[in-house]
Amino acid sequence: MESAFNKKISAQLEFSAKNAYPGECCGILIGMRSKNGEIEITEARDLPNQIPDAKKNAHFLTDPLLLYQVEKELDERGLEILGVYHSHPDCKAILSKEDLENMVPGLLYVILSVTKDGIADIKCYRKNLV
Amino acid sequence: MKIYISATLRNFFGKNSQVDAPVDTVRKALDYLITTYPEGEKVLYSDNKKIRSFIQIYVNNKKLTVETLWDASLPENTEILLLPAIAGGAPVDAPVESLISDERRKEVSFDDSEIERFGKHLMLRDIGVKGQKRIKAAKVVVAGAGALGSPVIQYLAAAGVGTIKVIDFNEVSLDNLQSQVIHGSRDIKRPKVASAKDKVKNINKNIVFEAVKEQLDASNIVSEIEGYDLVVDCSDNYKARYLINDACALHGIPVVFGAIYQFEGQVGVFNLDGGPCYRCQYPSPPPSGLIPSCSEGGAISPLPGIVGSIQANEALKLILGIGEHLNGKLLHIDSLNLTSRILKVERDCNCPICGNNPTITDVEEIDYEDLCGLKTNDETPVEGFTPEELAKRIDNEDDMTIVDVREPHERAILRFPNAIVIPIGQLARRQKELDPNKDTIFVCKEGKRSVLAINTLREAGYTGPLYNLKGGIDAMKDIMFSHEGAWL
Repeated sequence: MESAFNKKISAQLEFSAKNAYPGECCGILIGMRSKNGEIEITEARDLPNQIPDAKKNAHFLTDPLLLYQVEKELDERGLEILGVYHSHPDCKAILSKEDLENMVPGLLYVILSVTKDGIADIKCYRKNLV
Repeated sequence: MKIYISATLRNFFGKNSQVDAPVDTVRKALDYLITTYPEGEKVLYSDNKKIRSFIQIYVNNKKLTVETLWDASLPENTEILLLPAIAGGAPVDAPVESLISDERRKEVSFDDSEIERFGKHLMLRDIGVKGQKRIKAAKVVVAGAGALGSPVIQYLAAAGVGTIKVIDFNEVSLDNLQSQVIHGSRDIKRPKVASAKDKVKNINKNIVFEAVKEQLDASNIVSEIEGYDLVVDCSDNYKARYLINDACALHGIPVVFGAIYQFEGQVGVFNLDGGPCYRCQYPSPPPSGLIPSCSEGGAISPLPGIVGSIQANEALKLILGIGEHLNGKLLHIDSLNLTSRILKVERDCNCPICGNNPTITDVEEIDYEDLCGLKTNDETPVEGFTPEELAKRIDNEDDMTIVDVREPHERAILRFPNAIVIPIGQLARRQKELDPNKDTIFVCKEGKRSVLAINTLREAGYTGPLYNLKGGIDAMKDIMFSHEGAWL
């Protein structure tokens, strides 16, 4: 699958991941889906992590109602949430068991592996409906 | 009822953002939805008919959590929101990275004899040449060259750890030889670090061995551990354990902790990758004297060999970045009943060292003597006699009561004649057996439990004069046995 990922967006994701380190950043990828299935990401937006600080470097959770508000705003502009990004501080950019369980089929999941020295790896996943 | 479907889920429900369901409960509404859009069933429900974890259902902007709400009759203007749960987390049990960076590994080379020496490591897929180079590049501090230090130092040396620093203040004594297998009869009265150095150099003369004969305290610990990859805690007392833990936590150095008592042992890894520290598990030491140290409580000879070998194994795995670690776990071994279990240690967000708002930022802020109750309380100092003074009083046949608070098996080693025996636990109850008009002297093995006994009695309201035998029977036996007509 082709996904247009411009430099500005990826720079923004890398900044978020580094900024949140050693905590875990998370956010949504916003953009448009063309009729033939191609998607274009036009915006990345950080979302506040709801997990209390103690566990922040291992988990993230966002408020579904906040997503609801964001969606309503995007609907008016003809945009939609196409994916989710989050960072794995000091861990590989692989899907954890928790990530897999919480994946919404069809959405893009970008994982950034980040260490104290910067971004180590970026990977993108998508789950098909079983 | 209206059902709002998040854009992230809409593809499975005919791309609709809203569906009107002519029903009055949440359950019926969802049934209606999947009857209309059968492909949506797999999105909403898992194989065992549970709502999938990535779906959040809100009813009138409130999260649906109570099961009964599923079938509660709701008004027509109710709005159900089907939202995605954006959640996840870094892999919890992800392999820990090696403590040794690739750059440092690449600086290491081997000669032919090393290839031969470490052949059994090189043939292991998980170690190999790269892993062996990490071992050689590693710099490890072993705190203590006693019972646990003996196997730890020898195995780290044999495994090829390039730099080993051993810190120990003591000299070898005869009673050490029962368990401290790095020392021999000829080492008695030599510094333990000197004897350890001989052994290590005999194993591999190329190892950089740093012998530090020093009592660790808040003023010197940081300079001793700085620049090292790992500290293996082989100490036998709480003061050293807290000191090592605190300094390592503040300087980001992982600790492989080990402890033994009688037939039981513990091993754990602390301060690794944001994991818990020793204080998260044990916020404060037990009152001084309550739990005998290994030197007071004793330990079966091979036990430190078992526990120390596991510590060395953990240390090597951390250096190599392989396998499962005791990070955030505590392994408990019972060698008497041959059982072991792994306890989980959670990081304490209120921990004064590694918590969210740490209150300790420098080890020099802490009085470790005081923390471990090793300082006598200034308000009610415990009066005591030196062994010489007590010996003189016994010679003078002074009228006094001597109370032995040791355990029965300890008394079997050496009896204190004419002493009455009251275990600490029974003291408060049996205080009537003591005469408040007579001087009463408490004795134990090292003179620590006897202080606890005196404080216990005072707290229980006993008013008579109480004295402690300083240094305990251990300090007394040399004197009494050495002069003629000994009473002991």
